[in-house]
Amino acid sequence: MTTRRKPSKVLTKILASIDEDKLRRTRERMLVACKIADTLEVKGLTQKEFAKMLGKSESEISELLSGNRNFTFDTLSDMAHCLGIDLFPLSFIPTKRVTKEDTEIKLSKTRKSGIYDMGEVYTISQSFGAWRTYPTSSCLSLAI
Amino acid sequence: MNFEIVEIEEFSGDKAKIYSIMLEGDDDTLLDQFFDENQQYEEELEEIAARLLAMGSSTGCRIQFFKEHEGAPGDGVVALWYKRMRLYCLRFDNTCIFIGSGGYKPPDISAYQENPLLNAKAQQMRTIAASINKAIIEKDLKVFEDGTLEKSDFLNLEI
Repeated sequence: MTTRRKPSKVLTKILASIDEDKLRRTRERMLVACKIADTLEVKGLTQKEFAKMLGKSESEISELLSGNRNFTFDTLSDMAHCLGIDLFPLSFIPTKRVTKEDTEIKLSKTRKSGIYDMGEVYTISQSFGAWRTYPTSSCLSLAI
Repeated sequence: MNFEIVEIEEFSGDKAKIYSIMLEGDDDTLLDQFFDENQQYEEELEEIAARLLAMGSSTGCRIQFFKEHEGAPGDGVVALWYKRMRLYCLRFDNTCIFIGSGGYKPPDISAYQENPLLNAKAQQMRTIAASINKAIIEKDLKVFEDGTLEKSDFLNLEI
């Protein structure tokens, strides 16, 4: 390959000025389009059939799949629902529940160890990186 | 006129290799010339640059990102587009594209053939594509699975 290429100053300037947010949005828009296109292929659906399911025109679907269009959240939700896929794992909020055995707290030698039946019991949940607590009935949980 | 294939390292990545064409006597590629000639369309150029970056590093050059049938049937000539900007390419597969030039498609035309400037760019890409495709068929140019190229000593690309 040649080494004598002189890159365009316009191209160099554009690459230097594109911000990370713009790159991220473009990349993720295209990745979502990829996921939808892959799902259509797996399900054997044409763009025409998909357009009909969504109540949109073929050209709109083509533009969506090209990564050109900025989807609204409602459109994303509709597409995911039509295809039976999860574009964003919103339904999964990981929750830690500890067993009854794990609630045994070993105390100092002067006191007898045992399970604490706490009046108000909380389940610890992690939601989007922050720990939160929610009231839970009829279970023993490790509360912090 | 001879030409050579030049890797555009600004865009190439793990998912795809992005190449352009340097004509004999030039010191920049058709892609560089495209950016220079259309610098007034900043928004379109920025979007096209962002998409090429995404293709190289994240998505590959999937066919859904391009307008097909811009050249002769089966020659692989496609257009990368945003709004009314068109950039003509030869798409080999998800991991390899050769980018030519393009331009702004005026709103009063429906096909590139109606605009002399755009038509010239598209025809140029079609001619380049024919030469590259011939070299691949005759095994003077090999495209590996990751998009990298191997040229034989007999490779002669001309338009």
